[in-house]
Amino acid sequence: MVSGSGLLAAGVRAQAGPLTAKQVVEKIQAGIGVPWKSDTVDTFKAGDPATLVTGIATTALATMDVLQRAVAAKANLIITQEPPFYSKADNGANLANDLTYTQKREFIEKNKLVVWRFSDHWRARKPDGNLIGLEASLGWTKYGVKGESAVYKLPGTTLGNLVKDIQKKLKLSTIRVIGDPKMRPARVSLLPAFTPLGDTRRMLAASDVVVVGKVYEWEGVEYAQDAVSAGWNKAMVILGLVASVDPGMNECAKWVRSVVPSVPVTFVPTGDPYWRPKA
Amino acid sequence: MQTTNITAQQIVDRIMKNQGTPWRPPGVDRFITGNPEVQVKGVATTFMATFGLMQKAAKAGCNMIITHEPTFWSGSDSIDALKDDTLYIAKKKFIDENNIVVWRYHDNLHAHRPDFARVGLARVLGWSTYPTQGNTITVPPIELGELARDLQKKTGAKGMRVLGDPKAIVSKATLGLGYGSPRPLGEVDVNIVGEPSEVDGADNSGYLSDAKFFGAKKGAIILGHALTEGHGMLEVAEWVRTFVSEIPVEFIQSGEPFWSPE
Repeated sequence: MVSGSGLLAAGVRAQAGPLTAKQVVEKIQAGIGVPWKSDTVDTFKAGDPATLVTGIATTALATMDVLQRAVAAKANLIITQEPPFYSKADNGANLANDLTYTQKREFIEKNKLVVWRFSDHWRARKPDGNLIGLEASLGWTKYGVKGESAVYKLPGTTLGNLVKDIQKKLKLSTIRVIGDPKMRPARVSLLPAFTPLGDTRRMLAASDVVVVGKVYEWEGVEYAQDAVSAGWNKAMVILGLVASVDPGMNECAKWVRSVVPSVPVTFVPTGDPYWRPKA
Repeated sequence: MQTTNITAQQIVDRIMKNQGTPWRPPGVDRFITGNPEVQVKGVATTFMATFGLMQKAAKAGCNMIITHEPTFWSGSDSIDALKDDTLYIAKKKFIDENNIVVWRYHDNLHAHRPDFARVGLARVLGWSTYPTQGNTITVPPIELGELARDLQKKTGAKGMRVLGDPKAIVSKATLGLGYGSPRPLGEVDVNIVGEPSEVDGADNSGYLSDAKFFGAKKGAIILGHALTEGHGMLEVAEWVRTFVSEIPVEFIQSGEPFWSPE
């Protein structure tokens, strides 16, 4: 509110009224700082883009649980990094008679929500918002190595304790680790979302522990296993894809606020989707 | 001294002859590293020719490795980008020093009837004798949480991940092998999954999170890639033994890569 009136006072041309979802997206496109691609998953997935936006919710994955919390927060534009209708195409193919799909559609229509995906361009943006959000959630921002992106020098710890700390700070119910729990990492790197082999190799050379969202088990996982078997002081911590980009959408909320200061923006965490039975 | 001479190439020739389905060339099923003309002292079958597996195989006197998954960290096993990679250099040095030859059996393993990976997984889960229609196996009705604990015990999975309501009673199951699985639609209520695509594929976490929200009695038990495809390499070893009797053929597990806290 304060920043909104501040802008008016500064003489910025004011919107006549509330923004539509389409207008919000146009402001995001204008502000993102990377060319907008024609072939992209960053499109409207549900709802009418002409809807007047009362509030925005950003989230890693717009699950039903997230949508319900977004409605409670009076948000009607949902910005999701991952696909709400379960596939890259997000078109509900083969799901026309599936109750989970149809009930989700009904919930969105009944609550007049608009769902827009923000993945390709959010990830291409410099600096990397997923990284900034993740390092902030872990409390590692101050440990960042100058001149090196995504590398951190943490106070002396073991891999075992590092994993426990990450699990606690990110509230993860599952986490998977490769490496000796007693090894002591001097440098740790953060690679949210999916990481291809080339970057995994590069960062495993530049640090002792790579913390990743997802890597293929026949690529990065095998590479980390082999580095450990070679007797090197290396390890890999796997957060899961959604969990790894969850904090990034908090950063996204902050950025969207700067782009559309007149609209309330709420971060709605998705949380770790997985659970593990107690042994 | 080994009195029998058999080369890796001769063993592969026999595999191709005994496959029983049209060989699928060209593909990933090829010699990945080492000399096909090397004299084989012993064969190790395994899920993935990791560095650790090679150390175990060498110790067991096996210098031919039949692996389901890659050796050099990609589906194509291409080494073009790896020439200066210190880990590649170290692994290759071990391979050369131990006269190891690696051959990959992937596409044709799945094409074999029955699919060796499916047979091995059903055996380890104790599901081999349950009624099966198409891809759907009917297991005695059980709570998802209890089933997950049961499979955790049977597979030893340390990195297991589960989706769905632990109290949901499930019975109609499908076996997902390796990467990517269909979602449990229609009458299917639980998928056993290897490595999920997580969001952009059919086996994303979002569908089952939403299904749980609406009270659907559905779930997925994610074992990891190795634990869904690795067990069938025992069946491969038993099969290879039926036409390679000159030398030992052993199943050596590359194992689950992960541990988890607690």
